[in-house]
Amino acid sequence: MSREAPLNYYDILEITPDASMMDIINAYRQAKLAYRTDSLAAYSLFDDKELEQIRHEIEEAYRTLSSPEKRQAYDATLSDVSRPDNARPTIPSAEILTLGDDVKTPAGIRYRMAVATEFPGALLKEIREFKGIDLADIAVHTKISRQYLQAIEEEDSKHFPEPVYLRGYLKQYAVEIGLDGERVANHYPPLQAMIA
Amino acid sequence: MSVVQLSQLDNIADAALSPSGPHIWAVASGKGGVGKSFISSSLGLALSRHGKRVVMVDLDLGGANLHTCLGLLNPERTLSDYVSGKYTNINDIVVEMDDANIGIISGAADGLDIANLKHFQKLKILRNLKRIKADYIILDLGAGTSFNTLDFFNEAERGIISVVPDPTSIENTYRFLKCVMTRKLREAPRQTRKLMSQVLTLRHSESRKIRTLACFMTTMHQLHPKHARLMQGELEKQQLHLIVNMVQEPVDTDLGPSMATTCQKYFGLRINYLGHLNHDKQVISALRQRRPFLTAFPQSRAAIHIEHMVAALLDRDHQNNLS
Repeated sequence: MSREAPLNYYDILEITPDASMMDIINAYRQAKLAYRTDSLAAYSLFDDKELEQIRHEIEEAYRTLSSPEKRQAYDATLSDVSRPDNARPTIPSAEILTLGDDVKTPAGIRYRMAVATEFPGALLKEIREFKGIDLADIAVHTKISRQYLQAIEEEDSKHFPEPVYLRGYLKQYAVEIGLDGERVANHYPPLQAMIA
Repeated sequence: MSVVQLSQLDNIADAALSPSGPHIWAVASGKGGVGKSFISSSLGLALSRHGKRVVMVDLDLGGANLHTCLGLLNPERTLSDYVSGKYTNINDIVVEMDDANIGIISGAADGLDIANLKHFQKLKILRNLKRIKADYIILDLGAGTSFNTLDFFNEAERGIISVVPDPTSIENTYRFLKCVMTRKLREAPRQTRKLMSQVLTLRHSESRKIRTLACFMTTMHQLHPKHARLMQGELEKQQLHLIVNMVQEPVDTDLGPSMATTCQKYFGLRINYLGHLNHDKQVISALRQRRPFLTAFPQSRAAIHIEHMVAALLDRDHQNNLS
């Protein structure tokens, strides 16, 4: 990893700005473990004062990155200073705010995410795959059966749970891939059809 | 032009002609007795099972016992024979193992003064490593941070470091890494080195001193981006790997990932944690039986872990070849 800019929250947790929520949680756990007070791995590289400082930075980074809203606001400050991103399509800023954590995706998919008025399964799948998140990981993390997750992506209504559960699952799934849960759940065509 | 100079030119031409010569892996550690020779020999055997031609070189000068880990009693030719000039081609001192496509350059009966290898002798070995006919060359290095060890280590494309869950070993591992990095940066051009010492003596604006390599690199990137990229290239040329050996307690399996995390913060470099090996009394049994561990106890956990590590490394090499 090259360090061409001062440490930001992502560097502190040793992740990239396109990290998913799960990456952030895992990185935080790993950092807590590595810098805990009796850590064998840390004491001979850093003195007590530095370790205290590092632990403080980790908490601070996690507090911001673990909250989609705070992270969004933080990302905005980052891209202002360090990311000359002229290719970015003009998206109303209110739209971006509802879109979760995405920073580094190319214009194409980012734009479609921004302007999407509905989130069909195919688009969700595309976003997930683009972010390199494994369906199995989401299943482990959310404790939602993989069958249901697959059904959501494939819009396979035969395997859907009851609408009220489907809505909950959709929200959790959306958060995992860095989208706003409420928004996705409200604009998932098969669910709309079931309710109507 | 003398014959010696001509042969040196030859070497340079060779290196230029075949950038994809043998892959060199070096196995090292900060502290002694943490299983370097065991790991080297096991990696070599596992590699040969993938159909690779492997030559292992015992560069633990003055403390060589790689041959014992491979079950060889008294190899007839050793590194000393080459250093002294008795053999002129490095391939002539390779001793073949009976039942595998493995060669070994042993240090078993090295001269008693081999530990104090002279500079030109070291260069002779370094220059000729790539001429060894093999797919993979494994360097089994001595413990500690002598220039000889560091230079052999830095010659390898993969540096594999063994550590045991014991504070003394961990401290020495970090010391070893610091020495390795410093040695690498010494290879930078003169102008870059001058700027480096300038930055190091610079009073840091925010009362924070430059304490870590990562912090040093950040400052270099800000002040002298062109030179910093050069340094970064020098530091990242070699891929570093970590193996936690002799694990006894379940909690010790956390050590590897934690060390990778702290190293990332301190050195600003990704160190790939390969995995751990459980403490296994059978390693000693295999030595007593004069059989390589992987042959004697192929079903042991340690043997299986080694196989997985080699498969992962080969996979990386394969992907590098493609790209």
